[in-house]
Amino acid sequence: MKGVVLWPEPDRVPLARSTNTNEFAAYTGVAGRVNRWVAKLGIKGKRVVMTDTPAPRFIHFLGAFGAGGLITLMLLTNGTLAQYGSLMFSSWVPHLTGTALAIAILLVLRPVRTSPKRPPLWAYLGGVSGGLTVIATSAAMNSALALSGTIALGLAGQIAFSLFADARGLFGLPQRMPNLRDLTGLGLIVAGALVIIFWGGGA
Amino acid sequence: MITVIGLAVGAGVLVGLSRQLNGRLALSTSAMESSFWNHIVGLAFVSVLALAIGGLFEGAPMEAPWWAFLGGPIGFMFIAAGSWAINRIGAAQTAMLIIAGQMISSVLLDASMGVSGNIWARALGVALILGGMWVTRAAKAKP
Repeated sequence: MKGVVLWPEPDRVPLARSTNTNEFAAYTGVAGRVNRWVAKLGIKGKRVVMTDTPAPRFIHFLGAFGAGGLITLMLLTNGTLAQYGSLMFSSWVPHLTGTALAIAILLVLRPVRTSPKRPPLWAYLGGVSGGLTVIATSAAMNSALALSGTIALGLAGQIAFSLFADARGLFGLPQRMPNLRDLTGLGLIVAGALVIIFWGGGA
Repeated sequence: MITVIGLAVGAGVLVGLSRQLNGRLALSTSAMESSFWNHIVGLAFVSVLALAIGGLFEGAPMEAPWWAFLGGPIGFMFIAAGSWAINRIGAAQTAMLIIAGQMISSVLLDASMGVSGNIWARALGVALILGGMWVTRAAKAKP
């Protein structure tokens, strides 16, 4: 792969350089007040090294964990849609209502761009990848793998690729090597997920 | 079978890829703008696909309960949260915590809706996940 620039190094944005570590804190009104309060909560964490991004804080862990809860709700809403309409419809509707809400939120909050530099064009393709996920998942689900097998293999793919992306600093995201404790925690979470998927009866 | 396994693993890779691309976009813009682009590009993509394949409005989609249409707003928050977290705690930890949150909340949802299942397996799974979260969290607390 040497010599081939597969992913040209994009402009790295040193978030930590700005005094405003919480990008939402710049908002005005109620949202700004809430976010400055959230930012205050995280102040206790000691900043040790100045890296490209702010040091991990409890609020970041909580955010990602909470996002997992949102998936469960999405499976419920989109799965219910799929019971009444086509699979395509159950993917099309959430994209439509999500876009509507996104436009409303951008108009009201007007979030500031963190960098004057334009992001690379390929960074806009996350939605295509998300759309393809629906197709790949539904194809795998209707096979001998069934739902549990599809979810389990999907988790494996997601984690393997995320570890690879971290180790390489893929797509210009901060590079980081997982240590033994990270991997231990990861192993426990994967084991727990597999137990629930295969023996818990419905995931 | 190899093809199907490839598809299932590939779906997981695509989930990670999507989050990384959105995270990269959020690095230059903001988590909310990144979520907006994810949804509008995804909408265009799914619309083109629906036109090509057809059968978008097959069945009786309008008879679905009103709350089933709220997946979009939830998805908006999900993508924004993921794009926000990945730049701060990395792709692997974001994926890991999202999986942990998904698994624990699905067990709680199943329990609250009275879905039958092996309660011991569920409890063991949740305990393993909480243990895993504690291990990584403890690692981060001591720099």
